[in-house]
Amino acid sequence: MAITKILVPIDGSKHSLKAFRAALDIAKNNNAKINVLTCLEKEDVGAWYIDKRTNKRIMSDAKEFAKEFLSKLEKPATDANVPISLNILETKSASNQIITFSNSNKIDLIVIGSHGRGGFNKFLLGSVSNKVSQMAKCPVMIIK
Amino acid sequence: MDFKNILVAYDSSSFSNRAFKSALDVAESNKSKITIATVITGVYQPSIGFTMKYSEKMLEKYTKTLQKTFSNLESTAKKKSIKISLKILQDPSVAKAITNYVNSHKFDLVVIGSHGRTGLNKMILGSVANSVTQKVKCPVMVVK
Repeated sequence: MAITKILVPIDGSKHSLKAFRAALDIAKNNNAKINVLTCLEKEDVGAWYIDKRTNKRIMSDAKEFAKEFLSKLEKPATDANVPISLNILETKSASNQIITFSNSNKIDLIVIGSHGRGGFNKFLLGSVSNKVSQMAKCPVMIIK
Repeated sequence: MDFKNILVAYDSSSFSNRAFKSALDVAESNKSKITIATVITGVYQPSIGFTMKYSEKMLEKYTKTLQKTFSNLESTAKKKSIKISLKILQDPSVAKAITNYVNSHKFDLVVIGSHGRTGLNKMILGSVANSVTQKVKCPVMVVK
């Protein structure tokens, strides 16, 4: 089982950054490539029923914020000599998007944080990491 | 993050064999030590209400067969010059025994197969894998 492609789903939380650090170490040891994936969940927010453009504006703002955040990850990766690609996707369900992304890109290992932004219990898994660990077809590493 | 101490939950199913193989890969690149953990659960016996422990004779028999399968694993690990040891746990609940053992010792990574000997659905996790990933306090790698 050679690991050549690693997927790290990142939502900006502490746990996801910890997962990214662990993925960097694994990638360094295996000469692997890292795919970072951020899923922006589509939700009807604000006054969409008055002005439909609100949603689009919020989404494009969110994309910009995400891009800015992910660009900070490029430096440690280039320092460690690990090729990295950043992906930002709009989706209805983050967990489903992670799974379809890993299937279509032939990912060898998913490194995911145990909780995202919504976790409150330190003992159990977050809903996204739970679903990913159950449904993904490749090995999943859960960082606590 | 360094994975110096790796625990592999092993029950000689095909999934746990795959888990062992990928643990070997991780150990090779990190120069780490592997501990194989197996759990002997109690079977029905008349004294079950008084003690969950086996009679000495039965236990001896089981440890002998376990050591036989372990020697196979040891030889494959020795080819890659990886240190390996066996830990036999005794508990009626497999998941509880593994989580207690991992949380009371210093392990950096737990590698576990997605199903054990009784898995029938390839889409979701087995019960032991599920509860171990949720309760253990260190990173977990689920191998499919």
